[in-house]
Amino acid sequence: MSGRMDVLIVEDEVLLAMDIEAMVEDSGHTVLAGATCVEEVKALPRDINPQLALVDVHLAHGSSGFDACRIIQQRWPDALVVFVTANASKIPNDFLGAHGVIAKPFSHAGVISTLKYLAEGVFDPPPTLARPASFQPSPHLRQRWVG
Amino acid sequence: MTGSPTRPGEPLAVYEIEGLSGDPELERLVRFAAELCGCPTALVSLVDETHQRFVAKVGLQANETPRSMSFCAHAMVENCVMEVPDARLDPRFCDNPLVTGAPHIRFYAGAPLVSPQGAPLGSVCVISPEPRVALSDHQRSGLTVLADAVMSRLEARRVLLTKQAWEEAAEADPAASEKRFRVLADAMPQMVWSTRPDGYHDYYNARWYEFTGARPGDTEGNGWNGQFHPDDQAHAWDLWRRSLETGEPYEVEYRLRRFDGQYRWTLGRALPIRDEHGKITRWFGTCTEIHEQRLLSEDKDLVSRELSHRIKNIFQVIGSMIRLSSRGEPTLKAYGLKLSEQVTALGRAYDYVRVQEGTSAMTLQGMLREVFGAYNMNGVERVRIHGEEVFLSEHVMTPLALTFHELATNAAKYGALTSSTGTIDLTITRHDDLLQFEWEESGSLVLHSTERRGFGSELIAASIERQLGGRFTREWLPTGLKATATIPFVEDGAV
Repeated sequence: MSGRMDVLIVEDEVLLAMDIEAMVEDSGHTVLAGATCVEEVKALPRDINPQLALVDVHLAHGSSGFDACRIIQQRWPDALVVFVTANASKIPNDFLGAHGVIAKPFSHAGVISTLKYLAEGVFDPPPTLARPASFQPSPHLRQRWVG
Repeated sequence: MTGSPTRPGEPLAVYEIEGLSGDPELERLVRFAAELCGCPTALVSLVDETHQRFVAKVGLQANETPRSMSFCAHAMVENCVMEVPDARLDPRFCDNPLVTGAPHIRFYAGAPLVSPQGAPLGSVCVISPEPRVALSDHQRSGLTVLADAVMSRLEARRVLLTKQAWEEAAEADPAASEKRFRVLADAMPQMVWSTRPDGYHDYYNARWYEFTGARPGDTEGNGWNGQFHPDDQAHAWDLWRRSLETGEPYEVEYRLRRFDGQYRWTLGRALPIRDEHGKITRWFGTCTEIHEQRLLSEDKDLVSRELSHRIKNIFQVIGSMIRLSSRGEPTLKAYGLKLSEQVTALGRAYDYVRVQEGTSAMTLQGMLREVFGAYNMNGVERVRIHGEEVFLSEHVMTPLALTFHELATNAAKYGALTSSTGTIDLTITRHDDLLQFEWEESGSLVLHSTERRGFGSELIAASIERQLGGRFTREWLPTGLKATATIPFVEDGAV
């Protein structure tokens, strides 16, 4: 165990949010807060310090995970932002500064191994674990961790 | 002079007999016929629907008579020389004005003139105002020889005329074919254009001017590009320049400005015309408006992407629900995880649905890679796929996705994927109407070589044998599991 991450979950589908939360906690990390839309992301307490945000692209009330990503990056510049989406092709080439994507439908094994890989990258970069197939890093993260 | 020209379509028309009057060769032939047969009058008489015309004659003033008075019209349908010893005694001719009046025909002998195609054209005849018993055999065969000579003369003329017409047409061809082309091009519903070999546009049909509202001359040369949407101009130029350089057909889709300023999606195509040395002499091109079709297909793509997104979300929700509901139940947790992973594998397979011409076909290897993707390490494939790439319909794809998910899961638990060095080779081969999958594990110790008849095995048997009507066998070799599935093959939506 390389370390315990504090995680934000931005997902409008309650079942999925709960499922992700369970997997995060089963992996030994902590869920700090959840949000279902951009407004809720804005309303998150400012005194928290997440290392990882898992962000769905289609959020409640027609809001976009891309906007949520921008807010998170402004507020917590060091946090890793990973999109979780069934429509990965809609993500711009530069990932808007985000660090990667997990495709839906995700598997339990896929999420667990991704969390392990990211935790190692957060606390002891670059990660020595093999990058799981379920996680696609953004070009800039790939460069940062692979060189 | 003869009268009205022979009507087109008559067998005589091809000889243009109007130009034969006074033909010296025919004149010589009729003079000889008269001498041979001892008759004052000899004629080459050609018969059309209404008249007989005397294109060569001796001993007669008239140039033609109505067909009704013609002896030759009778002679020409015979297959030998027709002789009339005394016309006054022949019921066919006794009241003929040429008998009752001048030139008071009594004796007539005519040899038929028949075209190479077998059409009776007229006769070579001799006429006397004195009745006669008959021609001698020598005279009769001589008249036949003369008829053949006349026919040769007529045929020579026809050949000459055809040759002249061909040469004239060839000489006049540039203008004539250009004119024909313009008439045709203007009648087309498409826009048509043509350029010099260097790509300079020097012709557009009426439809182009009608559609674009451009004035003639506006789009000469390179002016066409200005009619394109600014975002499409560079692309079209690139492709056009490449076609001009290579001579390859030009094909491009762009938005073309209509007369009302609206941009409409258009398909542009052009082909080069080459001379006998292979050198390009012109380019001919068309523009076809495809605006509605293009918007429709964009809509379809959007719907298809949206549908795929929703389907994947549904699978995601089901998978999550199973995991969550089994999480708090220690006895169900492992089962829930396994079931949710199966659902996920199915959901992933849907990524490979392709909507094509009304059928949804999937690429087999794409689907399999998705299913096996979860086992890749650092981007290296643990399950290597070899062989055929085919398109299969969804109803075949789903049982295959379940089968190979099951095999991969088992390999991760008991087989080649339990260690980092093990690999699996999946070889797909097609034998006529069968598709065969060979699954070979290697590089890892075989932990369980006894067959477990769990749900996984049942699922595979049900998928391959019951649903797809195929066969599934497996054996444990020292190197690892070897499984073979064979299913009937029906390709779907082939590209």
